[in-house]
Amino acid sequence: MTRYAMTVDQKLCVTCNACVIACKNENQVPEGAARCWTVQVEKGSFPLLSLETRSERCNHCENAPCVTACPTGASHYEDGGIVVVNPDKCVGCKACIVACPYEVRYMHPEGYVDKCTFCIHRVREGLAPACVTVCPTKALKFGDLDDPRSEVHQELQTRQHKVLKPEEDTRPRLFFLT
Amino acid sequence: MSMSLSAIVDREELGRLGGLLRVAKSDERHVARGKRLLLGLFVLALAGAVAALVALLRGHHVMGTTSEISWGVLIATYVFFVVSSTGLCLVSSLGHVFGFKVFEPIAKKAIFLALVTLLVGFTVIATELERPFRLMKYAIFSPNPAAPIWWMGTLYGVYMVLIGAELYYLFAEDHRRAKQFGLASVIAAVAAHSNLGAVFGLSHSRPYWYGPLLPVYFIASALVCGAALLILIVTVGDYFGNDKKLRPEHAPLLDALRKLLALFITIIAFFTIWKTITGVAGQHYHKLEVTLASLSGPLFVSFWLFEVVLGMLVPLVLLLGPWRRSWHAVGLAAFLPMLSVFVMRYNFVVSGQMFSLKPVTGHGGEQLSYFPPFKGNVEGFLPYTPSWVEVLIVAGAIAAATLGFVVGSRVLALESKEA
Amino acid sequence: MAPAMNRRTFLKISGTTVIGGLAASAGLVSLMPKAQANDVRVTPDRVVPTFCELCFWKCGVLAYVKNDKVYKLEGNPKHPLSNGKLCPRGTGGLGALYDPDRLRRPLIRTRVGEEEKWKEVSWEEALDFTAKRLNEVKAKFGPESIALFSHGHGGAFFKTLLKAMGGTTIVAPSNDQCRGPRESGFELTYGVGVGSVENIDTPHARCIAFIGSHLGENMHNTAVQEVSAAAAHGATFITVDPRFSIIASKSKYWLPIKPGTDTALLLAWANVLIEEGRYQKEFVQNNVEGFAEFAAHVKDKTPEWAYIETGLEPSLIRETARELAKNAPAAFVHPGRHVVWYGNDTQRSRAIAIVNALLGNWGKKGGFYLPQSLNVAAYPSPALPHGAGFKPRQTFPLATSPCAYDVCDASMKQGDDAARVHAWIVYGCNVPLTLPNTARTIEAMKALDFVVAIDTMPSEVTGYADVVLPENTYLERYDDLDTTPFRVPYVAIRQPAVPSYGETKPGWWIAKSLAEKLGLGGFFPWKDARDYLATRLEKSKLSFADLERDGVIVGNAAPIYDDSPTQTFKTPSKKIEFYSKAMADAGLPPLPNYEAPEEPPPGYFRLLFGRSPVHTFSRTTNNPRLLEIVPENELWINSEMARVLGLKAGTRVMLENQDSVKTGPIKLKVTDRIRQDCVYMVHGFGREDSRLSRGYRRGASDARLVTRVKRDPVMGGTGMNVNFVTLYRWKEA
Repeated sequence: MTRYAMTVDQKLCVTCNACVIACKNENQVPEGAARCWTVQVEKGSFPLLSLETRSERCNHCENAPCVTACPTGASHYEDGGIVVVNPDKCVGCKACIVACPYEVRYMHPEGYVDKCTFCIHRVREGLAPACVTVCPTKALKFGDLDDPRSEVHQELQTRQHKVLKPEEDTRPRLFFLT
Repeated sequence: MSMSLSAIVDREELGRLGGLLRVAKSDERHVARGKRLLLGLFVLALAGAVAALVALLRGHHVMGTTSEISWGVLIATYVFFVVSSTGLCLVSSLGHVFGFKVFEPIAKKAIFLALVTLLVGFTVIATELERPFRLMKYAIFSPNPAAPIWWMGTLYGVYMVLIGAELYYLFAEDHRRAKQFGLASVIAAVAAHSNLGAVFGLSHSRPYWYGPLLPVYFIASALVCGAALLILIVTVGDYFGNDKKLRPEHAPLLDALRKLLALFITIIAFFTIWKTITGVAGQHYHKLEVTLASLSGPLFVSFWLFEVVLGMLVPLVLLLGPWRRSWHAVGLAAFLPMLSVFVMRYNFVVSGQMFSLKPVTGHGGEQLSYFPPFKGNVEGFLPYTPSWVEVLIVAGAIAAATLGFVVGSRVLALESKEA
Repeated sequence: MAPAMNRRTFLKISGTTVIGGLAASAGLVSLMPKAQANDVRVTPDRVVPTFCELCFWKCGVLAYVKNDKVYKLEGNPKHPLSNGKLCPRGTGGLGALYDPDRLRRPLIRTRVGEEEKWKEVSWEEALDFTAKRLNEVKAKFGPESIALFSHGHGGAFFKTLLKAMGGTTIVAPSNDQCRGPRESGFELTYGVGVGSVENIDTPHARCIAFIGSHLGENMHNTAVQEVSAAAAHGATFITVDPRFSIIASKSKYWLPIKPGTDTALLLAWANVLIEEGRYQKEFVQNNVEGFAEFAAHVKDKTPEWAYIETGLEPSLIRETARELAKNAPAAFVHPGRHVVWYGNDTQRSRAIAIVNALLGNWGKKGGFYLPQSLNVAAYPSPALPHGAGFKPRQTFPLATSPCAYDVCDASMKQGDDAARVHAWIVYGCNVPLTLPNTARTIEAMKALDFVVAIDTMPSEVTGYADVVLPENTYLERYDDLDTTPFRVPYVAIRQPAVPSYGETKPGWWIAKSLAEKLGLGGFFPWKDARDYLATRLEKSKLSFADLERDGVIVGNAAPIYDDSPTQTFKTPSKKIEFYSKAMADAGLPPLPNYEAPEEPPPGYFRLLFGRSPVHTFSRTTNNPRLLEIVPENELWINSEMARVLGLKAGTRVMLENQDSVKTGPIKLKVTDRIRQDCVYMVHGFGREDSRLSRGYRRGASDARLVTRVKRDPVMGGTGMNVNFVTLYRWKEA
């Protein structure tokens, strides 16, 4: 079985935002919305400080509350567990936006709800998502969790990692290497 | 049993509908005032219709809702209308379904208003959706039974059919069938409205809403609205229609409703107290911040003034205190909870979203910075202001519902034939 | 002769100030590729390789074109600087191409009654007018009174133009406002500078010390890729910065140094390396001249001495020096890039150069590699005349080129008109924001006889020009070849991906046409850009067709390391000079000296500034895509200081410097990531040109606040971190 996942190496990410802009270009993301964004988490007090740096996007949860909440099934799982919105079936009720614990969805001006799709159109052609492709620090890796040769599989075996809001039991597929 | 249209529609009154808006010299002052009010409502309803058209054609960006606060005043208004509809169905069912005779005279008017508010509520949410017709299509052809919203649409659809049938049988004076459909409507109403509570209550990602409380709380709210609206139907109707005097046959009905309303408000107060306590105790992230926002933060005025004072304290005093014999006081005591419920629904819908799920301060005091920048303030609260389109739709909807009821009560045979 | 203009008022380029009117720039907005439905794989009509101009690194870029519109930019995998990756500005280059505020037609400042307006004119008219005015200035005051401010790859053609006119007053702000002291520091030590694409072997280093370098926020593509590679291989980082930068957060050691005291730290490091015998003895013995003098010089510069100056614990200073020594020669102190800080910056760069020599890393793997470039023949052209040099009022003994700051100074009205600069040609350089003290630059521009600005966007500098010549963007033009020295030799081509917008023209055409108008067309003997490029490649036995197809031709790499015990250097002594006789002869300290910085007055903070990865100075602060991510700059202030001042995060404040110059309002970022004695902001905001529909008045302008500069006595660099600001809550008027 294929299970697509992405790892974000917090040690390498410098929050340069190349991924944010590459995604905007690739997916024609409307102005004011972002499919991915970067976060800096500052801990401690001067001079004992630490900074977490990462990019975030849709977590493509295995147990996605947005899929559960969608009345027409527009929000659904595609190959490899990628969560995608079918624009034709979407009625704009925004139940999925409300249901998402990570606030990754936005309303597209053309009347449907949109979000990161792990660049499924690229994945189907054997390419990595646009963010992974552009990342100058190689902080982003993408692949099949169930394939032992994939980078994500190996990263998760060898590195300590975490997910966001594990208490929501969404079982995200976006892992942060710490 | 078949029924002719003339049994329902008073043709004479229909002809005199124009007179409803035209102030005649012979009209008494309060009647003239009432007519001007109706004219105002008519204009407002028209403005609302125009705004709705604008929203339908121009799309989402004429609304004040954002990707973070995506359910705004229109959703709150929809909830307000369906809670009114549900309440009317439930409280009036005490009469013609459960046999408490004192409530029987009000049956037709109550169910008629229940239908009007339901339809207005549907219209409001249709303007909120981007593609309302698609919902109807895909809810049937591509349903997702795991989705509370799917159930909401389905159950309310069933409810609409049932109260439509109930109303038909009430007009036809077929009391047996009316009672059957009345019971079915009650069941459907409870199912649909508690499910609406569950639309919010099943949102695990939003701790302020999550939990078993909301479905029950919504039903309790419905009871408040139902009793209040019935009081208003009686008092306002008699004020304008019976020369500012209460009809003597309405007195026992009013007294019963008064006591019911006081009971239901007390239940709501009980819920609110425990909702607040559990919100603050336990320090649950998101739930705590939003509860505090109501108690001492940005929503301070909405909570204390509208929800507590005007929604609970003043009405209870009016209903149970020294003024309880005055039907004017009782009328006012019914108007205030309606206003309060509207404000509360708005707060409730917006509160659950206004505290961002993207933290700006972490659990250990960490500071988070976002690129693109976080759209809220340093405390983590996101902004929402309804746009003029939304406001007009809401005002127009309320106007349309009121107008619809007034016209209906003139033109349709809504008075009970029973003495 | 044209009547003297009533000295230039700032002239916005807008609908009301342009005679002939501006056609709806909505035309540009509609050029933007339309939003498409999700998940549709767009197949490009063509993919054009070129190189980027969003900053000065020149990464290879692939432009994806459909229906003559660029919809995506990706790094060229074949280009050694990009390796298929791009920084956020390069990726957001679409915003520069489709910016609705772009210049569209040549403009001439014209008097209409009492007012001044921009008049849209034909190229013919604009070029004729420019040539005429330049000739007038040349005839009256000599070609040396015409200055060229150049920043950007296309400037080469304008340098040729000025030289053809007989002038040599060519200034680059990248010199005295940026890297100048670093180049002179390394030239005086190693005989050669470190260049742009610094010759540091980052990916193989085991330990790197960053002095003020904020890589990760300063986003040079290759540099960040390489630092990330080093990090992934477990290299240790030491960051010396008053601010906890991104790279500081990834460092094993963060030294929150007192601003202005870095040289003391460097001398103390040298002290530890020498006193503890941890320096590379053999390398120093074979390659260094003046070691004994230097050792004596740093004998008393102990970590304890440095602690008093820098505030850094002596144990930390020792530990970090030992960390560097432990990993030598695969360890280096980063030479920095923008180094004009406190006025004594060449000396600090000398100290960095010397510490690196003590680590024995020149020509070594993980240290400084020996860069190489591809030799591409020049286009056969007549020799340029020997120009007359401009003599600035203030000279610097070891400056190899005039300072932009001094040329600006010489443009102001002063006693002797003959010694003044009278005309500016400005290429791709927003001078009022680039030079410190905006007010002073504006005064200078107002005093000039003639200013012509060549740019893609309206900006502060075009507002004070007489003629504005609109250049097309890098995605619409050919340009000179790029043969930047790097680890591998390469030549890259810039070629148009889409047709030019409006009537914009490439720099090569503008320079050549101007030359022809000036009767100097002979110095531009090529027919057009393609002829120029193809001929050069042909003469070098390289395939133009290959270059057009791939965007880059990579040559065979010669060895970039030199493991021989003795290397030869281009210094007078042929060795690495710890003791510089040239400096001694010029009356300057021959060994790096430390000067304690001034203290801020009470109630004031030292103003520090830097970069955002998403912006390139004011070049991008109107770019819609990039502004979405970072819409304005923020003022970093220590949280304890904010508490003392009673200011909360997100409050807007006004800044006022020691000379009572104000800017703002700017939002506060209250954080512990900065020392208490300084404040920090990103440079390039606070735009004052209201034509910049998106950039106007966002944030604050540090350039306005830099009214004091301290000149580097060696080459004239303008040290800018010598201004102090106080702040107060902004009240909306």
